[in-house]
Amino acid sequence: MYEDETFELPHVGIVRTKTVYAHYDGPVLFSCESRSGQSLLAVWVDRSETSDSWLFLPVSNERLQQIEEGRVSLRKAFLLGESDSVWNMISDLESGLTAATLLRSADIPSGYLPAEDSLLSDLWQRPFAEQGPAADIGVIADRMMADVVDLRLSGQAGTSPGVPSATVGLMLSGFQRLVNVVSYKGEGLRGKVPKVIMEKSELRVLCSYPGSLAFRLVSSADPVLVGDTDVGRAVKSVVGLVASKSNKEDLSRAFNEVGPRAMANWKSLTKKIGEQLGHFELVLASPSGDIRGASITRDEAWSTFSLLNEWVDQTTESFEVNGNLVGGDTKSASFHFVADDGTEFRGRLGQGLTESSLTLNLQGTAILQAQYDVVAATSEERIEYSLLEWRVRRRVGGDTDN
Amino acid sequence: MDFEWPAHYPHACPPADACPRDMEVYRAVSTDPPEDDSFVSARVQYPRRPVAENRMCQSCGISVVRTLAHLQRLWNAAPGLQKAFPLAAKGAIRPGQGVCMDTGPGHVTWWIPEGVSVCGQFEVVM
Repeated sequence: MYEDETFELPHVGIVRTKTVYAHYDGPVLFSCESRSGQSLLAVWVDRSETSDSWLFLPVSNERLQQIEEGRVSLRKAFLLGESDSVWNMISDLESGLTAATLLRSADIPSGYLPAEDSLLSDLWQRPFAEQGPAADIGVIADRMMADVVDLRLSGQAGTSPGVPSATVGLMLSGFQRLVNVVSYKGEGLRGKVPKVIMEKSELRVLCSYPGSLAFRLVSSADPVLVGDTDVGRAVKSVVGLVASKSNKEDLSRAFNEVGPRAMANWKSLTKKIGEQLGHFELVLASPSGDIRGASITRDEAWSTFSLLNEWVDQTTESFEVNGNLVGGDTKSASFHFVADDGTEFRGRLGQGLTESSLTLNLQGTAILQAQYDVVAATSEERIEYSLLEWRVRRRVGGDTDN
Repeated sequence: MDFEWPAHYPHACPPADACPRDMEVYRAVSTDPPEDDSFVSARVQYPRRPVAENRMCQSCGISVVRTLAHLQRLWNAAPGLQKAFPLAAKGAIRPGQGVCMDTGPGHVTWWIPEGVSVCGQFEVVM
């Protein structure tokens, strides 16, 4: 019964099925909506030789949500309806044609009522794709035993509806890269983010939400039983970065945590937010039960970008790496260095390095400086290295020199 | 496994995702012992009823549930179901008896091929 996409009910008019909550050889409990936007909750309550009897309860969307979430039992929903009345539809078994009578809630036969403790939520859960962002994120993180991130974007007021699709892509990829470089900093390493780190910190889009530009991302790392995860820790740091907005002290503290490379990436993202969005919002739920979020408006993003632009020295960092200097040329002021872990660094020679100080194919320690940037045209990360100092330790395959 | 499906099944029904299973299930029935009528789809029983195109295939199958507890929850929520089919029959779906697909929490749709009788392998347990 009531298996058509739309059907006509006496006194109510044409209705459209919204959600079938329980199905047994056809819908037995479902919601529908009239052309005027009135929602109704329908339940199959009786059968005779020739007909089925149904109750159709007019409900507000708020009340329907309470029923769907199990905050109001099905029995209470029909007994304590908002309009104090309910349609009793008698449908012919063969043709489906329906006749209607209006019943006061108090006059509903007790045999027509769902059991005392019957909850709709025991039979049906709203699919992820229809869930509102953020509200249930903790439940989902707990259920999936994974870090879950809701990312919501909104376009600029006064522009065409929506957000350019290219901007959505930039925001998702920019956010992922920010998480990658923060994760990498946590590993205490430098240079190109290794594949293993990118895999560990990968977030996958689980769903988006109709009516908004919100995406639910979930960590693709193996589920954990309890506690924080690497990607969760990285996203927490990013949340701290977003929450700092353009407050110098907070931003400074956040940078100490995430490092200059993340700062360069965040600077690029704030520019994109300022140019192309009205609002950027982030909520993280970890399987440990921790939920936190932050948001930044277009104007705040511009202020943050301006501040970061002044802090040019904060996008560079110096570090020591052990390895082998395999190339160095003072004429072209270039060098090529291979670290012990195989990471290759190429770049410019720092001032003060002479031909005689560039003994090649020797093991030693390089003091490198990295200048991080994101290319505006391509949104790709660019790292420029400078060799500031070179200390020889021993010959490759030979004895120690000093 | 090749099955002969009833002629009234729409195109691409059963769905490609449906597959043969070997599993225990429960079906709400009205007679003890269950009769063949208890395993007839709504589409066959009430062919004149209007059905949305996207629900036509499911209405050609029959509903079974994985647990007795789930059937009880359905009875509790929809009193009409309990009045029409007040008994719970437990039985097994065997690989040669059609294909199944999970079509909701605890709910399985079972498409039974032409000429296959399954009522004999179901027994009323409640």
